[in-house]
Parts: sequence; C-alpha cells; structure tokens
Amino acid sequence: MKTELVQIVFFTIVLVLAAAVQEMAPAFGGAKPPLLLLVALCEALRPSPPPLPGSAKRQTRRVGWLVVAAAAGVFADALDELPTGCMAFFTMFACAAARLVRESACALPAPLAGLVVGAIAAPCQEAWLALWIPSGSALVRFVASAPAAAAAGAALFAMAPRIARITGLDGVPDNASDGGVS
Amino acid sequence: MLGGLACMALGMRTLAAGLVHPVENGARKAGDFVSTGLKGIFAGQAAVARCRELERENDLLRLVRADNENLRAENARLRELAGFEPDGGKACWMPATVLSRDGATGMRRFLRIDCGSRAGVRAGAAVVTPEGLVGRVAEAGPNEAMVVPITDPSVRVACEVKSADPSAGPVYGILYGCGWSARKAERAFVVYAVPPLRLDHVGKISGMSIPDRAHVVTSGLGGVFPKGLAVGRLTGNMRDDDERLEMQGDVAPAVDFTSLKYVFIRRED
Repeated sequence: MKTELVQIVFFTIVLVLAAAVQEMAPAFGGAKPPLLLLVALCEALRPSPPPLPGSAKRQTRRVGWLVVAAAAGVFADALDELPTGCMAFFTMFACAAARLVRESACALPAPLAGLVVGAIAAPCQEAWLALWIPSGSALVRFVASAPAAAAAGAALFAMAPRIARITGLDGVPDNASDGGVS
Repeated sequence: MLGGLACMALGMRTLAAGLVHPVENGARKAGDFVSTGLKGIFAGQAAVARCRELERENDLLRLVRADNENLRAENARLRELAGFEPDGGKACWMPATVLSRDGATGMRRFLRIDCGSRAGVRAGAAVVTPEGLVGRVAEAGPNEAMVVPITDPSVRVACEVKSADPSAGPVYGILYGCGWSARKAERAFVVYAVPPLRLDHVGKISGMSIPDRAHVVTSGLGGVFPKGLAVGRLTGNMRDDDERLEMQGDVAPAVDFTSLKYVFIRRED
C-alpha cells in the first residue's frame, strides 16, 4: 500500500515536470517533443520487476502502465483543451501497441530504444492530432516532430532505469545484489 | 450528462494548469536569475550604462504620466460641464510574463501568462505590448491565464484605417485571424511563416482611398478592445472587387508573436 502511494506520488511529479517542460519547450517546425507520451511509453516498456514470493506487486504492475498512460493523456488533453479523451486514447493505444512489440524493443539498448520509440511515436501523434485539429503545417509537423522526440526519447529512456533505481521503484530489493543476504 | 462532462473537463483543465503553473513559473524565475547573473558578469559597464539610461527614461515617463493624470482630470471636468457621460472606469495595464506558447503539443495557438484572476485578470481583457495588440484573455485561472492571439482564426477585432484624406475620417472594418483553415491546408508549403491577418468589410465610399501600408488600429466599436491600439499595417493595396460593396486587405501584425516575453493586460479598476 505504501509502495503504491509512493509510486502514485512519483508518477504525478514526473508527469507534472514532463508537462511543464513540454509546454515550455520551443516548437520545432510547429511541433514540440511529446514528453508526456514518452514518459507513458517508457513506463509501458519498462521490464517487469522480478516476482517476489508471496507478493501481489507483479499483478499491480500489469495495469500500472495503463494508469500512467491515461494520466499522461488526460494531462495533455487538459493543458491543450483538446477534445476530451483525444490524447488519452492515443497515449493508451500507443502504450498498448508498444507493449505488443516490447520483446523486440527491449532487445535494444535503452537509449536506442528511446530513439526509435520517439522517432515513431511523435509523427504518429502528429498524424492523430491532425485528424482532430486542422493545421496547415500538418506535413511539416509530421516530419519535424521526429528528431526532437527521438533525442528526448533517447535521453528519457537512458535516464529512466537510473531514476527508478535511485527511487527504489524498479522493484528490485536493495539486498538483491548480494544474494538477498541481510 | 453533457454539462457534467463539460464541468469535469473544465475541472481537469484548471487542475492541470494549477499543477504545471508553479513548475513553469519556478523554471522561468530560475532561468531569469541565471541569465541575468551571466549577463551581468559579461556585460559589466554596458549594463550599468543601460541601467542609468533606463532610470532616466523612467523618470521621464513618470513626468509624462503625471501630465496624463492632469489631462484625464481635466477631460473628466470638461465632459461633466458639457453634459457627456463619464468616461467609464479607470483602466490600467498590468505587466505579465509569457510562460509558454502554443500549448503542450504545439497545435493550439495560445499563450499562457503568469497572472490570473487573483491579480484581477478577467476573461475578455485586452492584452498588448508596446508594439501593439496581442489578443485577449480567453480563460483566467487563479494564478495563470490563457491568451488567444489576434492571429487565431476565432478572433475578430473591430478596426479602423485612416483614409488618404484626413478630413474624411477613418474607415471601419473587421480584422480576422489568419490561422490555418482546413481548406487552405493543402496549399501550405511554407514551413512556419505567419500568414497575414485579413481586414474585411471595409466599406467603399466614393472618392475615398486608403493609402498603402496604412496603420490599422482598433476602433473600440466591438466593445472588447479599447480604441486606438495599434494592430498592424496594410501589406499592400486594398482589394476592390466591383461586385462587392466592401473591400478587403491583408494586414501584417505589429507584434512579433514568435518572440513575446512580456505583455500588458488591461484591468478595469
């Protein structure tokens, strides 16, 4: 219960920071790096923690990524006054799709996986948004969104395991490295 | 049901803006602190000279303001003597910092500023810079507000243009935001150029002509923006279609929207 509360607080802070940085970021070709989407994708692609005997934590983790994806999408919807559920649906869909191909994505080193995920997800998001909001520069945005998102994705995916380890949210007990001897 | 959804969406929006605002404000202040410190180190004497220059300008502006106060009082007395209605409430301009532009996705054309209803900002208030009109406040949260610029297609501004003949008085029209429409989207091959604003419904009066690059200012007839705020300049001749009784023209905005850092909001006291 306590760990779940810590996780909720942690992801709330992460999403608020991501939203603030995303909103303040300068637009490149009209598009901004989709940090909220990348945070959700990063969480969706995070390897599951090793199962702990007699613990229901692994079960909780199965839907945790969906909650983070929904929260990130709702955040983007609320900040940009997008039609209700527009980005929430897309973020959840993108995370579900990413989890389907997780095995191949996880085979890559973290920064490379972030680069690939960012380069694919950002243009897809632009295409999705263009369906809802008319934008004359849709094609330009589609192309321009990829580089910034790829760079942001690489940085985020590279940092995520370290942050998870520091905060203790990686699910690995502190004494696991020394064989669990305490 | 729909009302409930709308309330929930509004609540989410307020909550999201309320959560993000302190981070943005803190980041901006930290950035300002660092950049000011660095500039101070490298600028040295130039910064001191600039500071003195600004102090002198500030003193001069105080004198001008005192003169304006006297003129305002005199104007009020004369209006009273002439039996005119009072000139409405006293308005002032409140400075605000631009926190972010174009929303989180870059799809929306709005600015978020660091003043909200607690500072007296109300929806519909005019937002300007010394160069000219920026837009109006669309929504005011407790500590931040959303500003829709005049380049947004949803914005209409009642404007006037001086005619070539000073004795003929101004001609009136309505300014339309230049934002992209779905119909024009196919023709969008320019990367990020801001298309000009459109001045429409400018009445044709026989014998009257409008000079090229004439200044366009607000007319105050719309009731949202006060009279006399600079909007921009005509980019060329007004288009005069024989089949219509009105003329159209393109207007280049007076404000550079890509480099906005500070704005002023009109507040009725």
